[in-house]
This record gives sequence, structure tokens and C-alpha cells, in this order.
Amino acid sequence: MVRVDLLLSGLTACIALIGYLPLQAYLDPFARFFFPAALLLAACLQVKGRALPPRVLTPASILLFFYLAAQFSLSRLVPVTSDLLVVFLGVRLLGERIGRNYLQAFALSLFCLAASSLYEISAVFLVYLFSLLLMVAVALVLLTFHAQDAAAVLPAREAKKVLTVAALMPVASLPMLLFLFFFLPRTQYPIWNFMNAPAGKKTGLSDTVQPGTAQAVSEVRGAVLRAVSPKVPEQQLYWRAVVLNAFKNDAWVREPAPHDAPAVIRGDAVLQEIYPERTATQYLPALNVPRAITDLRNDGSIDGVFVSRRPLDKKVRYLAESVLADTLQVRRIDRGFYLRLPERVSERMRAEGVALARSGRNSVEKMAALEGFFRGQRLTYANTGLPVGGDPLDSFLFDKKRGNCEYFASCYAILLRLAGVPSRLVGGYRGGTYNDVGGYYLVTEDMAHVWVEAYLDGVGWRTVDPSAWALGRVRSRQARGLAMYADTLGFYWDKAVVTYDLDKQLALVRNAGSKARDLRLPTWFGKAMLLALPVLAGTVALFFWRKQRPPTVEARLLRRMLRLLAKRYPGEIKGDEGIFELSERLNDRHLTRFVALYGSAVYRDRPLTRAEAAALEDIVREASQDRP
Amino acid sequence: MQKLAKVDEMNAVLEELSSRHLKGKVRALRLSLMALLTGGHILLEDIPGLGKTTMALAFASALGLSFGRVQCTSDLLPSDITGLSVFDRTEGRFNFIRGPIFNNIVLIDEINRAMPKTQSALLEAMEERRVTVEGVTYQLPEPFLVLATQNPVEQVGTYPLPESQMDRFLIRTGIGYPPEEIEKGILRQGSIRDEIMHIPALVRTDDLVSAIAAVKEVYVGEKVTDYVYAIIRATRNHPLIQAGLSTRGGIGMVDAAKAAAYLHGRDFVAPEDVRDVVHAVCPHRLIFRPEHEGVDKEHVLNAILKEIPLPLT
Repeated sequence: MVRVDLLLSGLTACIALIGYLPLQAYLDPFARFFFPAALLLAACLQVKGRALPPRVLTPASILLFFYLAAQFSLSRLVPVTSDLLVVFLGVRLLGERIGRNYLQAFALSLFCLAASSLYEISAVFLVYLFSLLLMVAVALVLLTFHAQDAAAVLPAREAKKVLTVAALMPVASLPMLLFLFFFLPRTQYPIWNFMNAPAGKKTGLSDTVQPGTAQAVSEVRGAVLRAVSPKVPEQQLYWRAVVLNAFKNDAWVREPAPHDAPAVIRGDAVLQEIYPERTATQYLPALNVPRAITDLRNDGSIDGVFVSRRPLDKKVRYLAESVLADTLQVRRIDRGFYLRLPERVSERMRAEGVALARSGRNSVEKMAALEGFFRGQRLTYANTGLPVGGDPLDSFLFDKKRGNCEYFASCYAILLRLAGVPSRLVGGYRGGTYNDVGGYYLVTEDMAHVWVEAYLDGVGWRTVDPSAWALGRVRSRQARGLAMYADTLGFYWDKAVVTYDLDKQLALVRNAGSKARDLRLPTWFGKAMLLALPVLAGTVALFFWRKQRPPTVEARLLRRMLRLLAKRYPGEIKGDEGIFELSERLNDRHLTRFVALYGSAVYRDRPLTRAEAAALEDIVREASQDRP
Repeated sequence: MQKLAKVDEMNAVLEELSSRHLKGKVRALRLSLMALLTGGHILLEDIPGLGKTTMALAFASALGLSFGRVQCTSDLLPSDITGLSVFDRTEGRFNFIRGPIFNNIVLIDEINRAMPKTQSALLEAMEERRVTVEGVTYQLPEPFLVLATQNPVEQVGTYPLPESQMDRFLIRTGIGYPPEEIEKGILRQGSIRDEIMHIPALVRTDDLVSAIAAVKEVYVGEKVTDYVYAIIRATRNHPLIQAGLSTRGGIGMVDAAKAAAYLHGRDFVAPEDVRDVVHAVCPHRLIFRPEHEGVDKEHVLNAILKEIPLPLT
């Protein structure tokens, strides 16, 4: 046995939770704690079978309204409204358990969920929306029972039937939703962003590198991009975003590339389809080294850096073509530009540079010597306890001996320049979590990385990652478990819904229109196919219809009559009775006439005459029109 | 569909008897009438005192038929039933004195108390509808119905009817206790034996004869025959049953179904008529395997019927 009121209360609590949860992160503390408290209190009241009377609730709602509305201002339009919605939803749960209150709670939950979309649009919204719709549909059906009899109790089997049918309604409307998907416009960013643009997302990647400004780097685990790409060997998983080639106030910055010869990148191309998250910078990362980026208007420069022409403040996608090479072949560079030094270089570093310059005749030998020096220093890779102060690089190399990629790369590049080898820094990401379900790499903020390119005379820019010589390096991972599926869901949501914009929809309609205008009848074969297909479809449909249809006139008539009766006397027709028994039991005048005529033909072994069939037909029609 | 001969009169008799004189015995009455209309015989199996004799008496008077009664004992001789020749001294020859069997309705009370010899004489008369005594054959009257009763509980000093002889009865049924309200009414009124003696005849013998003729004419279609055969075959193949329905059993089923259809005012048999009579016609003809003696025959039969769908089209 299932108590309808309990079931309804439980569902309402779930519905209210779905309204509350997505908003929860954006609420004021008062509203955030008021709702769970109200829910808890409502549960207690339900157990005791009591409810707060309107004479308590109405003044309380008015007070709460004034309290919250006092914080109202034009810039706080949405937050105050959300608070109000959530608080009223909580108040509704405390009220008497009558139909009107339930309906109000459902409506408020829907509004809350809608309000949450002003802040954030993600795939989770879809999940919330579907569960809310499903539960509201079921709850509405239960409410009809509740309205009839507040203490209604359903046997378990009946309850199961009711729930199944109620749940089927929203599920059946899903295809409609898919259909509407192609026509409804959709927004690419939360609407609330119009009114108050979010602060630029803090990214691990920046276009200046100055080690020693902070003692610790906090790890942000936000996604940076997702790239649909074939799997790439682990050691080649570098995402190139920016090249830093000059100094400004002792910090590495990017200056317009000098007059180098154009780079030649040879090798097999790896294609990636990249979906970056919204960022404040406009660099377009791609696997090292990108050769071209298409599908998004951008400016590429000869050092393999691509910059989007418009801000990346909404979800976009682009195609990148990269070659997994460790060398950019450049015939000739502006050596002087790449040998400039920062204003301040410590004595110890200078001495080391001089020693290096003497250690080898060419760049390769000098680099080998420098690698030996780095390894010999036994440096540790760390994100905390970083050297700061007067000369952080010196302190990193000779005293503290711990640092992150910025220290490694900066020191390495400066020492190379001291030794007379042109060098520059490359900023981007290292690694990536491969999602086997979606077939894409997920790159997160904490994978931000800086490495070095050194110029070998006559060869080109050679990629070197000095951080790799540290003791203990972080390896990239394989995505596992639930998180992988959740991320896949979010990825497809972005791919199919968010980046699918109105322009594309319009283009689709335009295309379809012009195609229809230009439609020319195909050749005879095509024409024949065009004719044959509907005919075939019709034949198949006819075949199935006939197969499912009773073979004789008698059987068809009887089936129609029995279906009619099953509708009129629900639950009465079990199918194990003779027609005369049935007519005697139901005492239906139409059925009595029907069986007399029908039985006298069927049980006398003769087919129905045309007149009899017509008469039976009439009886069935009359019966269907007769409303008892 | 033309009107069946005398069907209204027959239903009126049933209605009158069951509503006025014999409350709560509709089923037994109906089955008795069906037996009479098909020319079969009926075995009432129930404990004494439930009104078997009363019912038989009332039935006979309401139909305007003659009534004879035999109370069986272990020393009852065949001639006590059929009658015997007695020497008439004034005329100087033997005169045949007819026994109680020369009546339209004969009540054989406690048939299992008679010894087998008497039982077999009786059953022979039921089957042949005539009696041969000392070389002379006497035709029994038409219509002719034997209503035999037996007490299923009593075992001492009885000669239970063998299966082969049970088969001679078209219908076997019980009477059962009347429903509470009706029984209380009966308790208030007391015995109605006197009243029953004076029930006026509701139909004439001619009517009965034409009704019997009409039942014979009731049409049995192919679908119904198939249905009956399906039942027979199912009883023959059933794992619990040693011997299923005989062909005579099948004929009995069809005959009883005809009478049922007739009483419903139809001149053709519908499958539900067959199912209606199965429980009266079949159980006493089924012989279960020795290890399953105790199984309720009605249950097995119900299970069989459930398996076979009624032919509706």
C-alpha cells in the first residue's frame, strides 16, 4: 500500500531541492541556510502530520519579503530575486498540504531553476531540467488523487501503474524537444553576464613570466580546453599558446617577432578540433607546433603563435593542424634580439654563463653542458615554498633549489643567452587527460607550463623542457570513473548545444530554401526510386497492418465491439468469457443485440451475410456513440 | 431466428419452482430439467435431508408427470423396481403388475444401498427405456427421467456404483446447503411436503415432448465440436488422469450443452454452454491415477478449461 500524500510530499521536497541546488552557490547566506532549515522543518511537520497555519506564514512571508527587498538595487536585480524565490519556496513547503500550495511550490521550483540559468549554463542544467519536468509531471498526476481524497491510499500495483504512466508523459514529449532544438535560438553565455561581466578568469597561462612574485602558486583545476584528437605520445603532449621573447622590467614578455625568416615545419600533421573555455587572453593553444588554425578568424605569427581576432568570451571551436616536431626550421634569425638580457643578472649566474660559453664550441655542446649543470644542481619541482626576494632566480639555482616551470625555463633561457645561444620561452600546457569515451584531451589550468626553445645555427628552434630534469615530475593521467563521464557529458553539451549558434541555424534554413528552389527532378533512375520508395513504404505498412489485423470480418467486428466495451466497462472484460455470458453479465443492450446476430452466424458455421455485417456495423457505431 | 418451441414455458417452470417452492435449488433444478429434456438421467450426490426427495416431488408435480419412488435397501430385488407377474385366479392367467419404474419421473433413493444385481437391472432399464419381464417387453413412458440419489459419506453396507455405471448418468451434481437467508426462511416455514403435493401442473406433457424434440434440433457447430473435442483430448492427455472422457462422455457433454442453449433461448450451441455443463457432466467420468485419487476433480477440470480458449470467432 502506498500513501499518496507521503509520496506527494516526498516528490515535492525533491522538486524543491532541484529548484534550490543549482541556485545555491549564488545565494546570500541567509537564503542559503533558510531553505534547508525550512525543508527540515517541513519534514518534521509532515511526520507529526501538522502544518503551519496561514496566520503564521502570511505575516512571516511579508516580513521576509521586506527584509530581502531592502537589499534591492538595479545592480542586484537577479541576486535579490533569486533569494526571494528560494525563501518563498521554503515558506511554501511549511504551509498546509493542499493542492494550491503544492502547485505554487512546483511553480517556484521551476522559477528557481530558470533563475539559475541566468548565472550558469552547463550540461547539468539539462539534467536538472529533465528531472524536474519528470517529477512535476508525476506529482501533478498524484495531485489529482490527492485532490479527490487527501488520505488516498493506492495498492502497490496500482501505484506502480500510475507512476509509470505519469512518468511516460514527459518521456514521450522528448522527441518534440529534439525537434524544437533546431529551431529555438539559444544563448552562448549566461544572460546575467550582459549586465555584469564576469571578472577575467584567472588562468594558469599568462603572457608575462616573472618568477619570484609569489611564494606559492595555487592550483586551479578549471578546464582550459578540450581537444578532439588522436592519442599522442606522452612526451610530445605540449600545447603551444604563446612565445615570450623579450624582457620588460625583468619579466619575460612578448614583443612583435623580429625579422626572422619564416619557419618551416616538416612532418605528419595531427588534426585537432579544439573547444576552449572562455578566457581573458586571446591566444589559441594547439599541440606543439601548430602549422595552421582554421574555423575561427585569427592572426598567426611566424613563431607558431595564433591569436584570435575577437575575445574568447564565448564558447567557440577551431580546427588546428599541428606537426609533432621538436624543431622549427628557421634559416636565419635576428640573433641580437634573442640574446638580450634582463637588467639584473646575478654574479653567480653570469659566472656560470661565462663558464658555459667556454665549455663548448657550438650550441649543441653548450646545451649539453647546461643540462649537465641543471642535473648536477639537483633541483626540485614544486609549487610551494618558491624562492622570492631580491634575486629569486639566483636563489633558485644555488640556494633553495626548488621552483616551478617558470624558474626552470627562465634560468635555462637566460643561461643560454649568457652562453651566446639565442633562446626564448614558450608558454602553454603540458599533458592532458585523455577521455576514452569522448576521444578528446582535457587540459586543465594546473597543466599550464613554460618551456624553452633554443636556436641551433643552421637548424632552427629546438624545444627543450628544463623542468624535465627536475627530481620528480608530474605525469599526465588517464581519465577514470564517473568524473570522465561527467566531463564527457559537459563536452557534448558544449559541442552540440552551446557552440551551435543562431547563425548556423539561419544558414541551415537558407540552405534548405535555396536547395528547394534549385531542386531538379533527377534522372529516370532517380525518379523511379522516388516513386518506388513511397510505394515500398506503403506496401510494408499495409503488410504490417494486415498482419496485425484479424483475418475475417467477424473477428474484426468482434474486436471492435470488445474494445468499445473494454473502454465503457473498465476492468470488466477479462477475455476468458463467451460472448453470451458477457452480454448476460454486463446487460448492455447493444451487446445483447450484437451477440444474438453474431452468434447465430458464427456458431451455425456460416459466414455473415452482407446485410448482417452491415447490421453489426451499425450496432457497433451506435454503441460507440451512445453515452450511458 | 424463429422462436424455439416451448422454451418460455420451460423457463417459467424453473422460475416458478425455484422462486416459490424450492428456494436455493436453482442449479439442481435446472440440471434436472436439462437431463429430462435430453433424455438423460441424473445422480444427486449429497447427504440426506437437503431436500432431494422434495425437489423430485415438486419437479414431477410442476411438470404434470407421474412420479414413482424406490427406496433402496440391500434386500431390494430387481422385481421390486420393474414389477412382477401375479397369477389371477378368476381369469386363470398371470397379470403383470407394473413396478415404480413405470412412471415419468422415478426417484431412486440411496442407489448405492441396493445390491449390484438390482442396480444393474435398474441401469439397464434406464439405458434401454424398456423392461423385459418373463419374456415380455414393456415400453417405459415418455418422457422418462431417473433421479438417483446417493450419500457419499456413508460407506458401511453400501455397494458403490462402479465407474462404468456412473457413466450411464448424464449428470451428477450435488444440492448443497441453501444460502443462509433462505435456510432461515425454510426453518420458519417448516417442511413444505404437503404444499408440494398440491402444486398444479404448469405444463402439459405435449409441451414437454415438443420441447424435447426442439432440444434435439439445436444446432451444434464446428467450432463447438472442436471445443468439446479439445476438452476431451485434454482430459485424455492429462498427467493426473488415467482414463479421460469416453466418447459417450463427449456425447453427453454436447447433449447437455444443447439443453443449456435451449434454455437460453438459442437454437445453436455456444462454447459457453459447453463450459456451463462441463462440471455437471464430466467429473464422475474421469478416473484418476491411483496415486492421485485424492485430487479434487473439479480443480483439475478447471485448470484444463482455463488452458483452452473459448472459440469466439
